[in-house]
Order: sequence, then structure tokens, then C-alpha cells
Amino acid sequence: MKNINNLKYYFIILVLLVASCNLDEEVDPNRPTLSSVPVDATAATLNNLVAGTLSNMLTNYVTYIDAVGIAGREHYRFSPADPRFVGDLLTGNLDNNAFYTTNSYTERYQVVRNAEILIDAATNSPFIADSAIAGYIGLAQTIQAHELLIALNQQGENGIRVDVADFENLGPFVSEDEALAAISTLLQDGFTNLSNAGEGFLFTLTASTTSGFIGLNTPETFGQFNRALAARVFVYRELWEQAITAVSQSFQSSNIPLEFGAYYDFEQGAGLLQNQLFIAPNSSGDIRLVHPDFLNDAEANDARVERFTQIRDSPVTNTNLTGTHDITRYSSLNDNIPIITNEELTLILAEASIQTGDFTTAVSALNEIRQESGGLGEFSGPTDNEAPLIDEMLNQRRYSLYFLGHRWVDLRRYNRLSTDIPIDRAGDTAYDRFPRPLQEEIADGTN
Amino acid sequence: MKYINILIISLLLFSVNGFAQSLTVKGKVTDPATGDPLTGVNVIEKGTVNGTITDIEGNYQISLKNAENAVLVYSFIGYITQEIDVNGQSVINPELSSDVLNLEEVVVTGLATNVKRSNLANAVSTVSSEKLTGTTSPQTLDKALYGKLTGANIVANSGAPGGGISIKLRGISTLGGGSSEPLYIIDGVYIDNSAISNGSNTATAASAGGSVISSTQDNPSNRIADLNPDDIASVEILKGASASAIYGARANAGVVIITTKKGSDGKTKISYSQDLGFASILNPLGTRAVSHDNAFDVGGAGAVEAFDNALVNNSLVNYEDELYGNVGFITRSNLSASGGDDKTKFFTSISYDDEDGIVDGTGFDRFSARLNVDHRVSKVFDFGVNANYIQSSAQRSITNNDNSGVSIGISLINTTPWDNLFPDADGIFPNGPSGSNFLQTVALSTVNEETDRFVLGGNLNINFFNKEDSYLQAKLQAGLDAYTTETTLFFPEILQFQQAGPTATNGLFSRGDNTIFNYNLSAFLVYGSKISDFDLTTSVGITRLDFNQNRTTTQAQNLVSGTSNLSQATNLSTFDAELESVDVGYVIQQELNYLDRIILTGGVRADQSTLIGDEDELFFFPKGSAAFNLHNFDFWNVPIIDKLKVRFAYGEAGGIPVPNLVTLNQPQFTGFAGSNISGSTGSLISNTLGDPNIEPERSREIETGFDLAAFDNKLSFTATYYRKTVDDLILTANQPTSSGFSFIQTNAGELRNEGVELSLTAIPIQNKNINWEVTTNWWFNNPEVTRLDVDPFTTGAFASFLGIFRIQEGQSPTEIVGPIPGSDGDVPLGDATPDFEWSIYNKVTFFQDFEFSMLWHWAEGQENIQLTNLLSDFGGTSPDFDADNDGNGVSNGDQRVGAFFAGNDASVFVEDASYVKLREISLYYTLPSAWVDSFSKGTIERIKVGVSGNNLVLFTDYTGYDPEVSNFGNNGVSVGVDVAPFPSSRRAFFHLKIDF
Repeated sequence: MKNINNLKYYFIILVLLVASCNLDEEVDPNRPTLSSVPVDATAATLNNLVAGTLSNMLTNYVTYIDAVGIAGREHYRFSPADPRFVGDLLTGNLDNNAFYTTNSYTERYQVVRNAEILIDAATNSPFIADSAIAGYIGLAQTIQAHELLIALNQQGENGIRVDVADFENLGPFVSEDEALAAISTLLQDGFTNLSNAGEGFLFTLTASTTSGFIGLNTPETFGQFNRALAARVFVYRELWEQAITAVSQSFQSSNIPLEFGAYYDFEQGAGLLQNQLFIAPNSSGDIRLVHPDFLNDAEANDARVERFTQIRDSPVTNTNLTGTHDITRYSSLNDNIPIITNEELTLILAEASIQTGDFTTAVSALNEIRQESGGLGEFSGPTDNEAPLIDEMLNQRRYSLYFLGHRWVDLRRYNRLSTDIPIDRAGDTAYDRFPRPLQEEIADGTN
Repeated sequence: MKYINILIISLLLFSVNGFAQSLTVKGKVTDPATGDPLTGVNVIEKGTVNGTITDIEGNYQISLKNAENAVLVYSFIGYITQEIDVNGQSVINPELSSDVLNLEEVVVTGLATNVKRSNLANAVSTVSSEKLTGTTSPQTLDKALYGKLTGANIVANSGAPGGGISIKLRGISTLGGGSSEPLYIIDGVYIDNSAISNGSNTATAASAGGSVISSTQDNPSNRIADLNPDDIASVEILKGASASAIYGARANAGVVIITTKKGSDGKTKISYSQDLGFASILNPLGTRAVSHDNAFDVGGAGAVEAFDNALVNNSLVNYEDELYGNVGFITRSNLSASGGDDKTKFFTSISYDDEDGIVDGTGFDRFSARLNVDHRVSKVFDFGVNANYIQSSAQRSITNNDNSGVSIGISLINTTPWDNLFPDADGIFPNGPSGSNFLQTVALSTVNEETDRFVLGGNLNINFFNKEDSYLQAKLQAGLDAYTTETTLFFPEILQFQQAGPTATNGLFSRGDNTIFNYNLSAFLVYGSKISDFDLTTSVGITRLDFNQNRTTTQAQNLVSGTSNLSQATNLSTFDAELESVDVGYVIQQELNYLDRIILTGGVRADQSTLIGDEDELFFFPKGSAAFNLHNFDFWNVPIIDKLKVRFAYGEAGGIPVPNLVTLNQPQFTGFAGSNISGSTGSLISNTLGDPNIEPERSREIETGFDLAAFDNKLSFTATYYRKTVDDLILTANQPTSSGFSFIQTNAGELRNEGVELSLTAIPIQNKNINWEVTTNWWFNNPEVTRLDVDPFTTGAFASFLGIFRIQEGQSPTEIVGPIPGSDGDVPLGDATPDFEWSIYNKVTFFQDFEFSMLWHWAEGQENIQLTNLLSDFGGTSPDFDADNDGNGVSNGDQRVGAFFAGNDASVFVEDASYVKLREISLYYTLPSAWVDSFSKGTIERIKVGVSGNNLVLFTDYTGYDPEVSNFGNNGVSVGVDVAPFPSSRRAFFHLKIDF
């Protein structure tokens, strides 16, 4: 019996052994998590957040270009898989939960969130200098502003939410004007931070030769990119003087190529995004075609038409729409897509100058575009009168910024949607905004 | 409890022999059905520890302690216990009836204790070895359970060889956040039942455009398929929380407790069985009738000429037959031995199954070796070890959804009879006209999964003391389930879909290495005592589960011609996912038995787990039950009714937040995905917000019913009603996207399953010549979402215009919705839950040597989302393309294609999937023993031969291959989505079984 009594103790010890296995705090074995990343972040972690933020700017940007490009009648997309490209997007009978409404919007705010996490993590990082922190924050705010602007471009007068720092307590939807003002402020904050960021970033924006920020990869030059975006927002806000100032602080110059600027770096490869705006000429199936008016309205011998379009072996017709030309702005899946370039800034300079009565600067800028980008002669219309210069400026924007998502926004800014959007078929319409996404409606209690 | 006492007492009796007393009773115990003597029957003087067992001739002799009022109790496993008043007789020759109704069966209900079925307060379904594998040769354990228990909805995901079965007990218990499948425990070892993706998504682009390697759509086996059904002695199914509460936070979807065979003392028995069989397609669909006149409609330009030429050359081909027409050869061999003495008992088996599928090159094979040993060291110690090694492999080809023309099913339906897909004299395959040449795919591709698995269980019992009125026992148990599953895909560069097409990469070689290492430990103390008329059993214990998974798949593209090596390629991509989890549970349970009249059980389990948001928080799962054996009360005086038990049970169980089936990401985390740009490695926040406070789903179930046995135990009837609510459902709810998140995973809903289960077993005829046993089960389950804290959402299929499942308060969670012409949004179109299921099992033994059995299974009223027809319509080949079922003047094919493009009529894709299947049928003959004896000179005890069939007959109006189908595999809500699946097969066998 004595042995048995001893056994009892062994058993109790065994039970305690099993029981004393306190469970460790579980960490995700597969990924960094929101509960770990913002705490005591190192420069390496912050740099990962920078790359993640930049990379997601690319996601569904193509969908944005399709949506606003078709809305602005820059191109058609014929897709056997999805009739909505020749349906909803031309009829204006838009769905608040369809890909063209939600996809880009969702990703833009995901970039904003990732950048917010970057700001949070950098601010609380014990390991890096204040100037380096300012560099991270300046970059994050600049990118956030850009992404909000893209979301707002599609939403137009619906307005958007700009105060989204706390994802559990989102700010209200604000009007388009208020949103633009908030984006300006965010850009200014970013610019201030970049100004305090010292000589260099702790991260590299140009680890690859195809990077979209070559020449814009220091706090100073990234600040010029920030001002470039600010200039775009100021002309949207019709704050012409500020626009001119911002252009002057940006990289705009007549001494550098018009193509110089910031780009989305698309690339083939595992885990990378390809430039799906490229479709090989004369493809069949899922294709994009130049809207006929772009060809019809062009000045003779405009080099941009040559560059951006190519006649097909045979025209394609879909639901009473016919296209004769493929879009050749991009020549491979690896081509970068512009975010903002010297060409747009020069056009912004022209626009702001017209609006402030400085026709000389305006005409000079327009002629630079006409000659260098379009291979055309100087502007032959009246140069002492605002109206024809505005027409010319919008026309140059149409051709220089073709397939970059500007046409529809420009026509909206100048209230020309109803007059300048060609209606190809009975039932098609010109519309000025996409519906607010369904998931936002639900959250806002308006549905 | 009483049973345990008897068991323990009878164990003691081996060493305690004979007390000199006044009266001795002797006799012989026999089976009335056969007249054979019964060896090893326990004979016990009631109320004492005095007893003996019968010898090999069935004889016994017992000296009574208390001659006056003595009652002898005769008990034997598989037979109904009999009590006989001695009344001064000195010779008693009882006949023990076999326990067809399983009243005597012992059911495992606690983690450390058992209870006799007749005292059970829950409707626990048990499937015996006889019912499981006695009729025909099921491929896998889960496929052997169809129709054999109430309350279970069992659906095959496809007809591909080797597993892929979804079992839902008492309806769905989760909307995807918890485990949708029951917990499997075999001899105390928690068994992993993962379904591991083979990575073919890269080729099929079924999910996310092929950008991810692993998906749920590539038709994987679930790993319960590894178990050899022939090793199993019984399967008990705890269907709801009221029975499974003691298993705690993982028992929401029920628990399947598997007990493997054990040896018994006496002569060593050796059995050899050999099955030979064939598998062939169960339900070929045919193809659209083609003619000169409709060839253009089918194939477009050029088709008419091609048809005419093929007609002249007699080269129109039935491609369905070419692809699915293979007759698969099946062989199953099993050798087992069991035996032992009073100290050591063993069971060992070796089996090899090899089965070819109906598609060339597909198949399933499994080698399994097992050794079970139980040893009694002393009165104090006994232990057991169960060891099982399995090697299984399956070749399941590429079927199901596909967006790249790769899946053989999709290619088939895009092929017209005049196309030529056959290789030329040099063995070069021509390109298929639409989709990849599937004959080439089948001939040249490798799709293989191979598993090496060890399942080891050990238990040690320590009997601290064992007195007449009390005992104390410790039960220690350890289990290990460790396996590696290697998946291999090889698509050589000469394949059409590797040369051109959306996923062409000039050859693809993929190797997946998946390591699963699970172990569990438990320690229990059981204290039993007898206080006057009450038997009390108290158990306390602790359990620990450690589940670990490592899944990696590496894929190489742009292969060096002809090679299948990861290093002979230009592009490599990798999938890597890991899971580690620890659960700890604390259990206390009290049982009380008053003279087998009133049996009360109460208990509580507390669980903590690293998969729960707060890993230190204990979640409590209480239970309580009461059973009243009315017939044991003195007032009971109904002659016809032998037994009547009414029972009530309540229990709670948990559904632990399960990681994503593919990525293994846990819902408590908000993770960052890799997202790279310009040569820099990036981290991008997930679009799904995790919930750091996530809790287990919790089901609460009440169950009540009665069990009745009548007419000398020749008829039993069981009726059960249950109502199971599952609260704190983990849902993926929409977020306002401006938060940067699209979804949030959180506890946000409740659903309810309510149902009735009826089971009737009868022995209408029982005599020397004919023994007829019939069991019929009928059950239904009625699910409803009773609370939804988030907005209604659709899930589990492709798009609402194709039919999709909608989760909406007040509706069934398996409701299928979609638009119909003129409707404002989506309207209900069907439900994947059957209205009821019904099965009938008959077994007739005649002249003692012939045995005929048959199992029919009827599932009525469920609907499927049938998209195979639509895909066939696109190829112009659907068999019913030209018919006009609804008589609206538009052919079915045109109507479906029209509905697809208009996106306004999902009703054409939602189809009734009711069916009646002949699950199993068999006829066995046992050769005359005298003949066998003389022929084998006494070495062979018995030879049994037979023929059987599995899924031989299917009656259904459903237009697909099989109404049982699931494109998305095992999934909480999504079943019955039909996208060019692997067709199911019928299997027929010849059996030979020799006992030595």
C-alpha cells in the first residue's frame, strides 16, 4: 500500500506539470501584425512600411484609369468577361458596389491606412533621430494626400472622408471643397516635415533602376514632388497664385524633359504588379480602344496621337461602339505610369497663369508643350484673351495627359461635361461623379 | 457506472476463485439464434463480487455465497444481459440473445468514463464495425458513415478517389469562423483532418486569378481518409453540445470518437480478407446531340464542315467516355491477428488498398499497419498502446473551377465530338480547340499527394484502490498524430496550357511539404463510490492539445525541358504558412446512478487556447443531463414494453476561432502582407481587421427524447428533439472602406438548428433459418440565423447572379439567393439544407450461412448551385442544351447563357438536388464448416465469400454528375456548388474472408 500512496504523489506532480504550462502570448507565426509593428519600430520595419505604402498605390490604379477614362470618353474597353465597361460606364447607370466604384477607392484608403501606421510607428520609434522621423512622416503625408485626391476625383461632389486616422472613429464625409482644402493642408504638413528631414531619408526609394522616384528620392526633391501635387490641388481649388508658387517650388522646369516626374513602378515578377494598361496592339478579347473623338478632334500631325495610338489591322465593334485604334501609350507590362510629370506641371503653370492674367507665361508654357510634346507649331489663336487660351490649355491637357485620368476631371472643373462629352449611343450619358461605395453608405447610416 | 464496477469486479475474479458455500449452480450458456455455446460469459451472483466465466464449451459452475434469494447475472459483450432467480435450481442453461439493439453497448461519454447505452441521456449514434465495413468496402472512414446515423448531413465534395467529405452534425455550427467539421478522436488521439491544397491554383487560376498558390478550390482530400476503416471497432458520434460539452472549445461541430479493435483472451484469431473490385462512372451525362443542322450552333464557323467530315470518317468521339470511361481496378487486402491472455491482449493488422479512378492515372492507395496492445501489469497498473503507421497517396487530377482552360472537366465540356484530341503516331497531342487538350493533360501531368503518418496513443491506468464500495483510479493518456503530406504537381512544358493561355509558364513543377505535428495529453482521476442505492462517479482532469502545422509549397516555372526539379527553372515562388496552438482544458464531472433508474450527470469544462484573443481567459462549458429508466421502477408494469427511458440533456461547447484554411492566418490578428516595389521589400496592412478580443463560438443545446424497447427487445425506437443555438458566431463583416479595412472578423451573430431524429430498429423474424434485422433512420434539421449584428451578406459562391448563399437574420444560413427577372434585388431560390434525410438498412441472414444486406439513403429537398451546365453551354455541349424544360420557347442552353449575360436570373442555376442512393448492398455466404474443416484439416475456421456494391444506384432529377458535390471543399456554408467536378463512381466488389 505504501507504494501506491507514493504513486499518488507522482500523479499529482504529473497533473501539475501539465497544468503549469502557462500559455504564452500568441504571436502570429506568419506575418508582422498591427499589434507588433507600431511598437518600438526599427528603421527596417519603417522602411518595409514605406515600400508597402508605395506598392499599394499601384493596386487597382488601372481600374481608376478605366473608370475615369471611359467616363471622360478617352477610351473604350471591350471585355468579354465584363459587359459593364460598355454598359454602366457609358450609360451612367452606375452601381455603388461595382468594381469601378469600389476597387480603387478601397485601395486608396488602404494606402492611407498603411501610411498612417507608418506615421504612428515612426513617431513612437525610440531608435531614430527626429529628422529621420520627419522624413517618414513627410513621405507618408504626401502619399496620403495623393491617395485621398484620387479617391475624391472619382467621388466629385459626393465628397469623401478625410479624417480617417482613427479607424474605429472615422470622421464625417466632407464636401469636395472641404476635402480639397484638407488635402492641401496635409500636403503642406508633409512639406514642412520634409523640410525638417535633413539631407537624406533612412529609406531608399530607388533600390531598382525602374523606380518611380528617380531624382525625387531625397527630402528636398521629394518635397518638390509634394509641391507638384500641391500645385495640382491648388488649380482644382482655383487658388491660382498658390498654384504658381507651388509650381515654382516643384521640379517644374523648361530645362528638363517633360517626362521627368514621379511614376508608379510597374514590373513583371513574383509579387509585383504589371502595367495592365498595356495590351498588345491588335489583340482580341479583352481590349482597350481609342475613343474616335480623340482622333477626330486632334490637330493634324500631332505627335502625341502618333505616340499614344496605333491603327488596328481591323476595327472592332461592340454594342454599337466601334474603335479603330489601339492605345499605345505603354509598350510593355513593365512600363511605369506617371503620377505627376513636368509636362502636367507646365500645363498647370499655363492654366494658373491664364487665370491670373499672365498670358505671356501661359502662352510660352503652352507653346513648349505644343512643340516638345506635340511636335506642333506655336499656338496660332488669340493670345490676349482668356477664353481661347483656356480652350487651348484644356486641349493641350487632353492630348498631353491622354489616358492618365485627367480629361473627365478637367471637363468637370470647367463645367464642360454636358457639352464636351460625346454621347455615342442613345441612352449613354455624361455624369460627374461615381456613387459613394455601398460599404461607406452602410457605415454612414444613409442606406 | 455500474458496468464499470462489474468490469472491475470481474477482473478481480480472475484471481479470486471460489468461496466454499452451500449451493453450486452449473449450466451451459448458448446463443439461441445459432445454438452455439458462448465462451467467456460473465456469470455473477448479483450484489456480490462472486462470479465466474464460461469455458470454451459454454459451461460454468458457480458456488453461491448466499443461496437464498440468489440472482445470477449473465453478461457478455454483444449480448443482452440476463438475470435469473436461482430459486434453488442447481442447473441453469440460459440463452443469451444477441444485442442487436445495442442496449448493452458501452458508450464513451466523459473523457475518462463510460456509460452503458441504456443509461445514456443523449442520443449518441454508434456505428459498429459490422455496420461500418461489414457490408461493402468503403474507401475511407467518412464515406462509410453515410446513412448510418441520424442527424448527420454527409456530402462528398467530388468523386475523386481518396476522401474529400464534409460531415455536418445537426446542421452547420459555424459560418466559417469555427471548425465546420467534427472533432475526430481515435483511441484518445486527436486526429488532424486538414485538407491541404496542392497548389494547382497557379495553373487553374480558380482563385484570385492564379496569383496565389494555395486555394480551397483544388479539391484536396481531407486527412481522415488515412484511417483504415477495417481497424475500427466502433464509431461514436456526439452530435451536439449537450453530448460533447466535456470536449470543450473544439466540440461545437460534434465529436467523432473512434475506437479501434482490441484483442481478447483465448485463442489467437487470424483473419485474412481480400476484396477485388471495380469502379466505373456512376452517372454519365452524355453530351448534346449533334447533327449537320446544329453543328454551327455548337461550334460556330467551320463546325458544320468538321461535323460532316467526322461523320463520313466515322470519327465522332464520345469524349466523356474517353475521359471518364476508365474502369478502375480495386484491390483491398487485410490481414489481422488478435488474441492474448488474461494479462496481455493484442490486435494487429496490415492492410493495403489500391484503387484506380475512372480517369486514367487517378487513384488512391493506402498502406496501414497497426498494433494495439493492452497489458495488465498488476492489480494496480494497466496500460495500452495503439500504434498506427499509414502511407497513403492519391492522384486526383485537376477538376473543379478553373479560369484558364486547364481543369479537365472544363476542357471536356468545351470539346465537341468532331474535335480530334488524340495523339498522332509520334505521340504528339494536337491542341484542343477550347481549353487545353485534356487527354494530353491526363496523360502527361502529375498530380499527386502522398502522406506518411504515425498515430500513436498510449494510456496508463492506475488503480489506487478498488474496494467493494469505492475505487480510485488515475487515467493518463497521451496521443500523437504526426504526418507529412507531400504534394507534387508536374505540368511539363509541352502541355498545351503551359505553351499558351493565361497561366502558361512553359512548364510548372510544384512541391509541397506539409508537416503536421499534433499531440495531446490528459490526466484524470476517477473516484467511484456506492452509497446505499446510489453509485457515484466523480472525475476531474486536465487536458492539453498542441497542434502544429508547417505548410510550404514551392513552385518552379519555365522549366528546363523535360525536367521536374525545382532548381531547373527560372522562376520560383513559394507559399509558406505556419500554425502553432496550445489548448488547455480543465474538467470536472459528477455522475450519479440510482439503481439504473435515474442517472444524473453534471459537469463543466474550462478551456483556454492560444487561438483565442485572450489566451489566459478561461471559457466555461457546463453540461447537465438526466435519464430516467422508467422500466426499472417498481411501478412499471407494461408487459409489451421492455424498456422505456426518457432523457434530457443540456450542454455548451465551443467553436475555437480557426485559422484560415489556406493561409493559416488567425482571426485574432491584423497582419501585414508582403508587398514589394522597386526592389524594396514592403509590408502592407491586411484589408481584414482581426479582433484581438476574439472569443470562441458557443453552442448551447438542449436535447430531449425517449428510447423504447419492446416485444422481447425485438424492436427499439428512439426519438430525439434538439435545439442548438450557436452564439458569438465569428463573421467577416464589412467595414467602411475609408477605414483602410474592408472586412472585420468578429463575434457577431447567432444561429439556431432545430431538428428531430427518429430511429427504429426491429427484428421482425428471428429463428434458426431466418434472421431479419431492419433499421430505419429519419431526421431533419431546420437552421435559422437568429441574430446578425452585421449587415446581411452573401458568401460561399461566385456572384449573386449565379446564385449565392445569403446570411440574413430570420433566414436559413444555407439559403441560396439570386435575382430573377423583374425582382428588386436578390430573392430566395433554394436552400442547401435537405428537408429531411431517410435511410433504411436491412440485413437478412438465412440458413445461417447466407447474409444479405442493403442500405438505402434518401436526401430530400436540398438545392445546389449548378454551374457545370452553364459552362457546358458556353462550350455548346450541354446534354440538355436544346431541350426547353420550362416550355417558354427558349432552349435551356440559350436561356442559361442569356441569364448569365443579362445577370438577371439566377433561378436557372439553382437546382433541386434530392436523391436516393443505394449506398451499400451485399450478399455473403459462409462455406459449410464441416467442409472447410475437412478441406483444411482444421486449420481454417471459417471461409466467407461475398459480393457487394457501393453507390450502385442513384435516383435523382439533378442534371449534374452527382447531387453530392462541393467546389469549395469543406466549408461552413458553401456546399453544393457544382463546377465541373470529378464525377462520382459506383464500386462493385468480390470478397473473400478467411478466419484461421
